Amino acid sequence: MSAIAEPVTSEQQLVAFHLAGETYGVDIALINEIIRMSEITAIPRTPTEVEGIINLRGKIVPIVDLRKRMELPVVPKTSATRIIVLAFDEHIVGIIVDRVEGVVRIADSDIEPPSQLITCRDQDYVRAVGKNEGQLVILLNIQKVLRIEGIEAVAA
Amino acid sequence: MNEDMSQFLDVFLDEATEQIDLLERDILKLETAESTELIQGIFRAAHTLKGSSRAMGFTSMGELTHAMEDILDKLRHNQLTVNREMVDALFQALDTLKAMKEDIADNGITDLTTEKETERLRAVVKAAPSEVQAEVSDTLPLTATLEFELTDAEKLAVREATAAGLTLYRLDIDVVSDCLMKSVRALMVLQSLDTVGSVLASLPDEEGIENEAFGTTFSLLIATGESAQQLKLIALNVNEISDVRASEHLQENTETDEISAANLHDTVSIALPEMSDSASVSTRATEILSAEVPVKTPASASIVPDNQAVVAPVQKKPVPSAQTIRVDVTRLDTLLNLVSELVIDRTRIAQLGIQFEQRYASNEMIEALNETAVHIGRITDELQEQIMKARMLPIDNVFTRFPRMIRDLAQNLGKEVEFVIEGGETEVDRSVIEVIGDPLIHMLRNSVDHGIEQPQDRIGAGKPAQGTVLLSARHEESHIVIEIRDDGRGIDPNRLRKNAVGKGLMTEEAAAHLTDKEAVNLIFAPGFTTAQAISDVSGRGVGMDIVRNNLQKLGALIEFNSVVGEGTVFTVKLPLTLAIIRGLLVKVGGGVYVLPLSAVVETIKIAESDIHRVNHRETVVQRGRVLPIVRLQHLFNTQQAVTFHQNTINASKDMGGSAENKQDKTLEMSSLPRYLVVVGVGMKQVGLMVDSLIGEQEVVIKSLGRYLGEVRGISGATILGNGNVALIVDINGLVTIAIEEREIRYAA
Repeated sequence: MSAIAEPVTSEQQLVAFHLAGETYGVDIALINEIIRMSEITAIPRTPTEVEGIINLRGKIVPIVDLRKRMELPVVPKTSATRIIVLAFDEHIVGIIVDRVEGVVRIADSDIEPPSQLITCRDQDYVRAVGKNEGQLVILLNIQKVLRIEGIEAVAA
Repeated sequence: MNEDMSQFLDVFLDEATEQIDLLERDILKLETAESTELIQGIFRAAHTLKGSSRAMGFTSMGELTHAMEDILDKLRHNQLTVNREMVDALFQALDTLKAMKEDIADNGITDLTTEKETERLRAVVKAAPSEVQAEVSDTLPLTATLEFELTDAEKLAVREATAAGLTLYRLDIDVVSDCLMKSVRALMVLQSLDTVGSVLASLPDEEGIENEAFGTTFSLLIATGESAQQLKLIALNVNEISDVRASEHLQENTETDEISAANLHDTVSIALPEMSDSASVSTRATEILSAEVPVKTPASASIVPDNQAVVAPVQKKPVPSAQTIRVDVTRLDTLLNLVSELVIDRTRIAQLGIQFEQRYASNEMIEALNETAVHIGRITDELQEQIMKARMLPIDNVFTRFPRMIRDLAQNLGKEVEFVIEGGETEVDRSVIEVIGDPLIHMLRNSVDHGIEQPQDRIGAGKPAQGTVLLSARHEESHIVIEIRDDGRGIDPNRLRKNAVGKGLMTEEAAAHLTDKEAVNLIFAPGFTTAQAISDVSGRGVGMDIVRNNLQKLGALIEFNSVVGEGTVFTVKLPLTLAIIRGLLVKVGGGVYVLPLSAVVETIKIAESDIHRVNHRETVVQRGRVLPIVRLQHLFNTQQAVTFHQNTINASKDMGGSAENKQDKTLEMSSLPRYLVVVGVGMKQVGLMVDSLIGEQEVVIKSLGRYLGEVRGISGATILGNGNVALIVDINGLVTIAIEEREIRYAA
């Protein structure tokens, strides 16, 4: 942080990941940890996108396949496949993504509201689009994506 | 509420809960077993509650308890006698107190009014001949006139102090008459005096002060170098201290052979202001004392060798003598979770040991590893057991809620009921305590409502007018058995038959065909109630079916035994804890599932060819009975627990595979033997078909978490020894799904 009186929200820290050729970003504050794929126990009679539950050091963590949730084509898991464990208040959920790129910082000036050009099944899922080194990063409203109600997105 | 009080809120609420429980229990006894001690106990509880609620600024609560106190005071002085109206008024007040307490717990304040209750209580008092104000000072002995009775250790301490040139003062300290936290004030006085001298003894003793076992005055014996005036100032500095009288204490008791009286008086008389300096006191003391008398001054840190025990009382500080502590339950839950993780790691270490052995043949290091693994295993087992024990509470925690309820209910119904509790000290896990209350309430209500007859009917039947309901608890192996026994009219199969027909549950013919046993079991039928009139207590349709279902969810079994005209016994058999269950581990479609052992009746090996279709439903005939079959694999719609490994590419699993596909797979495997786990659901038994049986194991139940919420047919998950997750099956839910699905499938 520079000494100049600049608002702290001048940039956003995100964890960027890939899903079906696109780059997405989720607020770093929501992320508990990123783990490799592990043994997932399927739960009968739950929605398709709920892949199952895992044992994360003694804790039961439900896992959602983000491709299935966002109605993207399902592909086989690879060695790059990762689970991003998110925590919202009392909810802990892991999401399966194709690949994690890492932490990116995007200046507020490089962030724009979602344009009509972005075709997503549900416009609600996208809260903004950012530019990072010439690459487009879709800032997900992950609470909406995961249908976690009653929790507002961290940044509008 | 002012700032510094808010931190006491939790303490206040805890205390209020205790006092209210005590009041509830003892006021009930007033009607049956009135005694001076009992009244004193109730009075004290009301008084404590009055004091603490006023201290916390809950004045309306204070006024209500004050009005209760007035009644109790008159009772105590035989100016009133116990009557029903009085007990009712006290109970009504108590209910309001409870509501207020809940309010305070939730919102930090309460705006409930107490005028109605207070009026009613006053009306009861008005019957009394004279108006006597209830004040504690009337009842508890004033300590001012009492003399200190010193223990030997204290005498020695006195002797040493005087020998050390300190002056002994007796302080009689008055707290203001409406002081709210006497013990706190007294302890504050003790604490501030401790900085200038040593408090050697107190009246009442330390425990007495903590328990407020004094009127408005308590007395201290203090050895100090300060002047009496200074002590007074220090004590008066504490809030709500109205007066302090100091007198020099000449302790004749200390005249023993070791120090002569003359010597002692000498010592006392040389108490000079500069004596507060520890160094000079020590020097002075050494000069005065003969060599064999140990020297100790309060401010000095050195301890005279070989006399440590003697020295101790001088340094005595007010230390709470509690043998138990309150622990937040979430901490115990966390501990239990940590231990269950340890149990998993322990298993892994043991498995690693075996793997090493297989790979490298046995050697010293592997043996050492295995020995350590065994030792860790023993310790973790012990640890788990101890933590489970720490979570145990006497079942009285639930039982104490009932006597009042039974009394009110009996009164409303015009019945006479004696309610007896046995085995209240039986300990169960707090998870059981939390959930067992409601089912028991329903069962007890049924006993009073449907079981016990009206007094005249009882007399007519040659029984005493007063009926008895016995609630008992006892341990039986790893279960707790709760019994509700009444000596009422019993369950009459004919009445149940008539009722079932009357309610249109079955035809007269079908009812006539029922055996007596089947007929009495109708009490578990949904929407069934035998009450002649709809009372406002039971008979509202929340019948035994719900009670039984709720109990079964807890892994409990319920049975009953009834003799017409003699009474009914309901027996509930519960696991000691709901945090850990014994389960039967089974394999279904590659996944491991845990079936609660409490629901498992037996396991049977069958072949696909043993399965018959009756009415489109799969059944198997076993020892002459027809057992419906539920294929878990169909129900769970799962082929395989999907396994991903690093660097392994797996075909995505087909969650919504078509029914035909599954049918094919089933046919392919039809030659394999199948296992049926027979489970009891309600009165019926169902065979759950699984691929294989793994074995019995104790598992720690973990919730699926808030994100998934309730998943039908699954009650939770557990982590197995290999670190994998297994799902725990909710048998009741599962069978419900099975019934629904069949209806859907075959209705189409």
